[in-house]
Amino acid sequence: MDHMSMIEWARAQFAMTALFHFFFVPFTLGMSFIVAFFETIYVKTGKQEWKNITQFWQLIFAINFALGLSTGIIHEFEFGTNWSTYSWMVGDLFGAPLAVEGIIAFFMEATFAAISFFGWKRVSKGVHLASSWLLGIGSNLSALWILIANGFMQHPSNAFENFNIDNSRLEMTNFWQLIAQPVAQVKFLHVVSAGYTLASIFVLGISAFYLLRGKHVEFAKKSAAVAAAFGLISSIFLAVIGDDHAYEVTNTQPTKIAAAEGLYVGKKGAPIVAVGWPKDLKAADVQTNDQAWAFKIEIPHLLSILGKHGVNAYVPGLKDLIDGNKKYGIWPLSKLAEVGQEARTDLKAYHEAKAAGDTAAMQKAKADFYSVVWSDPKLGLKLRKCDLIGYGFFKGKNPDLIHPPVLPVFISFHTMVALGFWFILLFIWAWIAVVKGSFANSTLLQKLAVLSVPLPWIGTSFGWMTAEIGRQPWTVFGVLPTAESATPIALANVQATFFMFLTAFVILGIAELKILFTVVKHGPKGAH
Amino acid sequence: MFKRILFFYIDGFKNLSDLGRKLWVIILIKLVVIFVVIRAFLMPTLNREVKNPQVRQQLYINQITGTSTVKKKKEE
Repeated sequence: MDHMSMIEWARAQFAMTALFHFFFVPFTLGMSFIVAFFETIYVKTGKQEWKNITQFWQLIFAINFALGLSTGIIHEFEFGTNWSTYSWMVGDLFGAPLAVEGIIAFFMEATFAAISFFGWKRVSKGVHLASSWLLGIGSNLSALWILIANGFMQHPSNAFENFNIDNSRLEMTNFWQLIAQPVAQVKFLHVVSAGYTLASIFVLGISAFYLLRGKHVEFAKKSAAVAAAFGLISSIFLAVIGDDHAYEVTNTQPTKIAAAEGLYVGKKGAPIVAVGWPKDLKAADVQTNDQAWAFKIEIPHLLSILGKHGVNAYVPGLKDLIDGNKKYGIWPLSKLAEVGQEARTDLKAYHEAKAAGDTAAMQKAKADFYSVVWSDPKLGLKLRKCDLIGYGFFKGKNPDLIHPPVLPVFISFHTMVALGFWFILLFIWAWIAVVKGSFANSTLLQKLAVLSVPLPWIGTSFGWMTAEIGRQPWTVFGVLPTAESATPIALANVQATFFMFLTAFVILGIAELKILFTVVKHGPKGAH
Repeated sequence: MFKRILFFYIDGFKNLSDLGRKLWVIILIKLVVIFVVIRAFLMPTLNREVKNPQVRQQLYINQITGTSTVKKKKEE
């Protein structure tokens, strides 16, 4: 029981670290490019006002960069301290992109940040501009490596091609296969475009704030114009790539999309719930989808269209994923768990035979472990016992443990999507106002832009909650359950460090906001 | 070349604004608190408790194959 509580505390600690880290990350991703845009205009026009604009937003970027610095590395030692079984089993694969991020992208960021911050009077305009762009590219490359690592956790395709049976670890055999995972690519584009949208809303909102107060009017109009253009492109791209992401998730993590849509009983032409409140029931207690909702308004067929690219395509529900559905070739959890447990037994037999020096028994256990349990020669697909080892941990357990909780995943996913649509509307409105030259006079738009400043942070946090709570009960989907990933350390250690990190994060968060508010209140140097 | 790069940084740090100095102080305090105080002294690792890598490897294999004794010990 203590062990389970330790896992929950370790998860809470990791979630808190991730959400705190992600307070800074998307802002860095987006602001680095916005600053580079402003500087490009300055270099092209040679006008001092554009230099002032660039330097003001670069100062805001620098504050965020400095305070967010190294908050992500905390994750890496949490993997070692709290999640050592996870780190043992997949660390060789998962650690490689993190190491590349550290070596290439981080050093790239550090080098070009120094030239960009210190180099205004020390290097030529062209070198400085190149440094600003390379700083943006470096920041975004950092995100690429992190999301390749996360993409592997979401969909570890062909994971057991890389399994070393002697030490029971997944090892790196094909780096390019890891990089080229479609889930990681789509996730990367989704996250960086969310960062661009977030930074654009920040610039638009602060510019609107100055206009409402009648201060720094020319500065605000020019900043808002760039933010509206960049934000409009980014927010539309965010929605388009979000659709691709939903397609990938539907086909690789069916429990996540079923929970996100509160779909208990799978159906053809599955709808999306536009507005509703799920009751978060156990799958065994639900006979029809309507039973599971306090209320809902649906858009018919939309989930099938978006998730399967077919108006009447079948989308499995949580009950299908637990009880199985022969018609659609879905195995029941009991069968998956049975085969998975056999794989664990084969692995155990292999290690026992190895310890006893029984080569024949080792070969038999290895052959059993890798034996094919299902194949489709037409499609060239096969499923081996080892591929299902993760399900073995669920043998004899409550079947509802196999899917994530419906309510938090539904709320986080739908709030994120709703905010995404609001950002598109806001940027369309802002862009039209900028083109017509009416942005400086539209008080309602300015007020909405100011009020929208915190919303993308809420949207990005909910996005990560959808991704990570929705992946439960797995750390590596289908391979390693969360409950088996943790280090067997004392609960008190995790609780103590949780509160210490919480204190550190609250102090840092207050420092960031206080410094940002002071700089924003003071306004741009030399802008009138 | 090396000298130029060195002076670039020295000059940059020498001419930091008040806000720049404040940010560096925050960075240094943050690094000390997170990496020295919390990480080095307060976060236990299995590596410290189980020093022999062979034994550690066996513990992880046991957890994956379902013969873990460490988990049971902690649950007692």
